[in-house]
Amino acid sequence: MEARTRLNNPSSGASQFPHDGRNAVREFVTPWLGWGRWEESLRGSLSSLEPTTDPQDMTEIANAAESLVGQFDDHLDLDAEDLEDEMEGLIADYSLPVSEAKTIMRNKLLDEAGIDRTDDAPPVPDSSEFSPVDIETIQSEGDWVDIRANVVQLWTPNSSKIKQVGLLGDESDVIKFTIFAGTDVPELEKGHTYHLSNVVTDEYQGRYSVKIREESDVTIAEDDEIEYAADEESIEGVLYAVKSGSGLIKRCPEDDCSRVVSGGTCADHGNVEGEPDLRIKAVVDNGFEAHDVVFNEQATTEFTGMTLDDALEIASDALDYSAVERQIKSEVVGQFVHVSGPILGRYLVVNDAEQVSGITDEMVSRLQSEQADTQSPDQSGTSAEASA
Amino acid sequence: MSDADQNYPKRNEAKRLFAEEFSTSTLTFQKQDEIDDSSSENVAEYHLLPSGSGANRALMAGTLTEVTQIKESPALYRARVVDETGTFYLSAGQYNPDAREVLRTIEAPQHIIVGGKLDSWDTDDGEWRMSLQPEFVTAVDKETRNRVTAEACLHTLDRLRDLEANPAQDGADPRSIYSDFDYDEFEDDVRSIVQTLLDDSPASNPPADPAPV
Repeated sequence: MEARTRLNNPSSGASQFPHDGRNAVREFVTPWLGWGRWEESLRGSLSSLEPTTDPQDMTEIANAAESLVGQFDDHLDLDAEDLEDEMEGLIADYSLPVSEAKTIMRNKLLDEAGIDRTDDAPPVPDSSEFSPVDIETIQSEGDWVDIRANVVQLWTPNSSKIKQVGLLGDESDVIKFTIFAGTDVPELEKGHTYHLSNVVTDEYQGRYSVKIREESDVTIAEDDEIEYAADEESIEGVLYAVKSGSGLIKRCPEDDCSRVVSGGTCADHGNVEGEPDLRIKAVVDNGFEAHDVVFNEQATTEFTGMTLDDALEIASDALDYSAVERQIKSEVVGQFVHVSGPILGRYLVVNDAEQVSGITDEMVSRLQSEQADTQSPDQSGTSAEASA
Repeated sequence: MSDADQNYPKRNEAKRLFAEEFSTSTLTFQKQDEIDDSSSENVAEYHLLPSGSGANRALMAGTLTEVTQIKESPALYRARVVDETGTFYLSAGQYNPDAREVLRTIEAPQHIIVGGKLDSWDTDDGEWRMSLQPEFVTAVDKETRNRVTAEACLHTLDRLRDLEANPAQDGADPRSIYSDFDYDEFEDDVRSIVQTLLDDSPASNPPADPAPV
């Protein structure tokens, strides 16, 4: 019982066995409705002392049985009514909500079919058809989903255990993806659209991502044009500040962890030998808005000319990692920049950064239209009115 | 969890200001919603600008003409900066180490741009003076200085138009508070700076069809 509870705790990383993403939320919510109804029916039928199963639960049990039969179609010869009976038995004997009974049944069937019930278990798709979900609907971890997406951005992996990392976008949102080293998954190319079947959702600090795994199907879809969500922004202004945590940092080398190592310690993995990485966390201010932006290693090198090796040399000459941050700060603060990239949380992740020098042509024409306003007093309203 | 992510404290933008307006902005206020939201004592202070909005930060440009060390330990430097409309002062002490280091070594005269927090203090004779507590000071070329000056022109004229359209911003009409401030003269000053910038600008030929904004 305890083991089952742990397996089904949605926040536990251990429970990433195959799951149908589209039903996960409903399954998580309905048990409690079931409980309430059940309590009522318990009170209503005290004489029998035997809980009567709610008709709605009956339907759910039947649905669950159907779906299990379908899922194990290739592996086992099953009869839906047998499964229903068995689940009803579980529910009566162990006071379980329907979803728990279904999970137990599924685990039992996985064992019977000889499928390893671990994180590495192959997904059990409802059907082999490609049925993509909108990226913005990905709101839970450990689900197997299909998505169709454009490769918005690729980053340099900061760990040798990661083969590729970047951002995928569809019309609804963007999401980070990871492909781990040692998998056969082909690397994705920026700007192309892909149909990705059976990718696994993940969560870190409230932000969702997908892992493309050995079991995933990656198909390039040239004809499927995606205008990915216009979450890409640009801002032009003064680089007002370089925040602490910039320059040379160390990241945890553990699988699927890229946390910044502080004092030789990763918050998740304890003492680790961090892998060096280079970044700039900065503020770009245009006078109306101050925007947090982050330059990753590649963007930092493109913007400052400083490579990771340069940074390591600066740090070792100074016997001080923070010397890199100081040098970057003294070089970039007060420069005017035009940066663009997708928005992730509070940060604009810099894809392109350009130094802007002096007054742009666009500003010249705005200055000219200010003067035009004064020279013709009858147009003394706002420039918006003047242009209407 | 993801909801909490959305509630970053919003960082105050740096208003583009000229010395003439900056020096007048002595009235301070705090925003009620920020007082209500804040769990700490640390509620941002805004200076009411003659042109209306509240400024916590400013980005300014000018020629640094003099730096004086006015205190030994901890070291405190004051710098005088002259822009197209007047003079303003920076003071950088132990809480502005980066800017203080720049002021310690900089040679006047020098074009600079400076970003910082607005600060006011009262003199012995009971008058309020403004100074900027720099978060950064950067020595720049004329081009970059002009860029900041141009932004100051455009943003200031925008603010003056907003004031015209919507006088009682943040509950007080700055025109009655800063009754000595000559709004017409200030706007004329800004417009003549615009003209100077356009005359200096390489792309100063008026376009055949003035581009609306």
